[in-house]
Amino acid sequence: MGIKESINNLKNVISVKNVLGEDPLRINELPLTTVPDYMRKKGGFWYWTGALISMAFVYQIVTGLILLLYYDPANAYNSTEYILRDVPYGEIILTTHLYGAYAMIVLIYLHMFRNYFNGAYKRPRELQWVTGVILLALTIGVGYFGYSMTGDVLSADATDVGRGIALSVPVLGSMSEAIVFGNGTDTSLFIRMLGFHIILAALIGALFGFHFYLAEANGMMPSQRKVNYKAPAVEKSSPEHKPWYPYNMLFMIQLAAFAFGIMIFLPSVIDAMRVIHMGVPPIFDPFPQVSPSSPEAAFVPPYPPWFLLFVYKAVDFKMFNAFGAYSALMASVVFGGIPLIYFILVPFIDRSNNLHPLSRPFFTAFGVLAIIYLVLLSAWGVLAPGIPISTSDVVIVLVPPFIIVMAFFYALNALYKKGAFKPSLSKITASFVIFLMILSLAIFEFAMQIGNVMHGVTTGSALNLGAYGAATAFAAFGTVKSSEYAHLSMSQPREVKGLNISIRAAQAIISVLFIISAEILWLMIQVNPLNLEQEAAFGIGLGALLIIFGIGLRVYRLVYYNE
Amino acid sequence: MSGEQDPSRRGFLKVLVGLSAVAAVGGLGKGVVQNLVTPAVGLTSFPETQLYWVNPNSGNSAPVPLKSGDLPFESFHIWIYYYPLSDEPNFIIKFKEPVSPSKVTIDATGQVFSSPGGVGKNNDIVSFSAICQHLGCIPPVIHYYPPSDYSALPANVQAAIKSQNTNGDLNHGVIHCNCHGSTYNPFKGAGIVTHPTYRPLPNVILKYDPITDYLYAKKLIGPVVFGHPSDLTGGNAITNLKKTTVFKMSSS
Repeated sequence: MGIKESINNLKNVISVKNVLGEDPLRINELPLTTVPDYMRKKGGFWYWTGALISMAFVYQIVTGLILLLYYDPANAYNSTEYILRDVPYGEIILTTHLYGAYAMIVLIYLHMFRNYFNGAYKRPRELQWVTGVILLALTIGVGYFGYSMTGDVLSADATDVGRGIALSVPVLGSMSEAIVFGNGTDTSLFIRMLGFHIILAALIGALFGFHFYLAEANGMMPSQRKVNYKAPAVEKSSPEHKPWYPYNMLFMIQLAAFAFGIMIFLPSVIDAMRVIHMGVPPIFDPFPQVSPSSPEAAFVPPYPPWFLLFVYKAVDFKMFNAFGAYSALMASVVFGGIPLIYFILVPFIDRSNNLHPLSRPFFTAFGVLAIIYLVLLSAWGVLAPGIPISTSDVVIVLVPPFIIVMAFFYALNALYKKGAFKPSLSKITASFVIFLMILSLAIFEFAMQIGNVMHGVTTGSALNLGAYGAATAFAAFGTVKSSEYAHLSMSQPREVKGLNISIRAAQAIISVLFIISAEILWLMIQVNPLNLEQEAAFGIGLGALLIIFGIGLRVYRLVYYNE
Repeated sequence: MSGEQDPSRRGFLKVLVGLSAVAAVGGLGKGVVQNLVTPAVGLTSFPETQLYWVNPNSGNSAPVPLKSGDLPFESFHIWIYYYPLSDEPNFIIKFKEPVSPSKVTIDATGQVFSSPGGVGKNNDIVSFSAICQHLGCIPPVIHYYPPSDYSALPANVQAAIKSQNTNGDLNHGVIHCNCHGSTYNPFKGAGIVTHPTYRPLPNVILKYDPITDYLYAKKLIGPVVFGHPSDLTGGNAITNLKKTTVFKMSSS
C-alpha cells in the first residue's frame, strides 16, 4: 500500500462526512425557507436586513450578559468606568455594546423602510409588519434604558427628561414615574433602568420569535415583477431552490462573520480615535461622559441618544408651549407617537393590492417624508440643541418638503401609469451617491442658516434659509428616491453575473488572507487588555479576523458554489 | 465551475478558510475568557497598620492607640480587628505568660512555619486570622475559649486537650470553631488540636514599640487566609491602611 493510498484511507476515516453522513445536524429537515440563488449573489444584501438585525441582537445579548456580570446599579457611574478601565477588554465589550445598539437601530430602520416601500406590509403579512413596528419601538426603548444606565451626566439628563415626561402624563403621572424610575434614590433608579433594559430585551426576544415564525410561515417576498406588482406576494420553499444546507448556511455564516466583524471593527477604530484624542463628536462618543457631580459636567452639551434626537428637537417647538405642563409630552406624542401609530396601522389603511411604490403615491411619499423629517429633526437637534423654534420656522422647515414630495410622487404616479418611467440601476446608484453627499452638506448649511435667522431675520438670511432648505429637501428627496429605486431594481429577478475568478486566484487570495490572519492573531496575543489603546487595537484586529474569514468564505462560495 | 475536478485543492481551501475561522474564534475566545475573569481587588503589599481601640476603662468613645498593657488577659470576650482587608478578621489574645516562638506544622501539606511568639511588654500578645481554616466560619462561631471555659467544649475536644497537654501548652485556652469542631492551640502558633481542619490559623506578625507600648500589624504568615486567593486579595483593603480598630464581640 502506497503512502498516497494510506493518506486517502486516513482521510476517509477522519472525514466528518464519512463518519456522520451528509448534513449530520439534519439542517435540511428543519422547516427553514429556501431561497432562489439570486438572493445569495452580489447585491443580495437587501434580502437579509432581517437576518442582520437578528445578528446584531444576538451580539447585544452576548455582550449585555457579559456586562451584567460587572454592572452595579448601586454604583452606576463607578462601575461603568470600572468596566471601561479595569476589566480586561471591558472597553471593547462596553463600546461595541453601545455601537451594536446603534447598528441594530439603523438596520431596523433600513429593514422597515425597505419593506415599507416594497409594500411588504400587505396581505398576508399584516401581523408580521405590526410586530415589526412594535419591535422598532421596543428597541428604541431598550436603547433609552441602556443609555440611562451609565450614570454619566448624559444619562442623568436623559432620566430627568424621561421623569419629567412621565410625571406630566395626566392622572397617571406620579404612578408611571414611580413604575419606570423608582422612588427617587439613585440605587432605585439604576436598578429600574437595568431591570427594564433586560425586560424589554426579553420582550424583543419573544416578539422576534413570533416575527420570525410569521416570516417563515408567510414565505419570503419574491420579486415584485414575479407577482405582477400585486399582493399577495408569496414565495414558499421550492425544489428549484438549492437546499438550505450547505448553501444558505455558509451564506449565513459569511453574513455573520461580516456583521460581527464590522460591529467590532468600527467601534474599535472610533475607540482608538477617542483614546488618542482625535476628537469624536460627543453624540457619537463611545465612552461615558463625566459624572453629573463633576464640575466639568456643565461643559457637556445635553444631548439625548441620537436615535431620540428627533423628539428632543420637537420639544423645542414653541407651538407646544400652548399645552403648558404637557408640552414635552405633546411633542413626544405628535412626533413620536403619531408616526408610530401610523406605521402600525398602515397595513389596515392601505388596503389596495398594489405593490409598486409609484402605484401608491400617497404612502410612498409619506414614507419618504418620514425619513426626511427624521433626518431633518435629528440634524436640527444636533446643530441647534435646546434653542426654541418659533412656529413660523417650524412651518418653513417642515411644510416645503411635504408639498414637494407629495407633488413629485403624484407626478411620478401619473408617469408610471402611462408606463413612461423606466430607470436603470447604474444611473440610480450613481445619482444616489451624489444626492447623499449633497444632502449631508445641504442639511448642515441649512441648519446654520436657521441659526442665522434665529439671530435676526433679514431678507438675506430668509432667502439663504429658503435656498438651502430647498436644496436640502431636493437632495433628501433625490437620495431617498434613488436608493428606493436602487433596491427596487435589485429586487427584480435576473441572472446576476456577479464576480468571476479562477480557482487559482481564489487559492492565492485565501492563502494570503490566511497568512494575514495568523499574523493579526499573533499581534493580538501580545496585547495588554487593560491598556485602552492596545485594547482598541485588539478590537480592530478581532474585527479584521472576522472580516477576513468572511472574505475567505465569500471567495470559496464564489468559486465552488458559483454564488 | 470546474471546482469539483480537483478535490484536493478544494480541500486545501476548505482547510485554510476553516483555519481563519479558528483564528477569529481564537481571538474572540481569548478576549471573552480574559474578560470573564473578574479583576482581583485588594493590596499588593502588606501595610504596617497600627492597632487602635476604644478603651473600655476610659469612658471616651473615640478610638485611641491600643497599649499592650491595657488589653485584658485571656478574655472571655472575642477581640477582633480587620487586617489587611476589610473581610479578613483577626483575633488578638493576651496570655498570662510570655509566648515563646514555635514551629507549626501545616498538616495538609507537611510544611512547617515559624510562629513568632508573643509581643508586648511581657511578650504575651498573639494574633491569628479569625477565619476557620476548615470551611471559613467566622467569629463569633469560631472563638477563643479561656481555660475556665473548657467545660463548654464538646467531650472529644476536652479529651484531646487532656491527652495532648503533656507540657502545659494547653493550659492557656484554645480557639475552637463551633461549625465543625476544629480546635487550634493559640499558645503554639494556632497549631491544630483537633480536626477536621488540616491547617493551622494564619499568624499575624505584630510589631511592638516598647517606648510607646503601641502595637502594629505587619503581615500574615502560615497558610493563606481561608477563602482568599492570597492574603492580600479577595476583598477590599481596610479603609485606612495606617489604622485599624480592635473591637469586642461578645460570644454567646
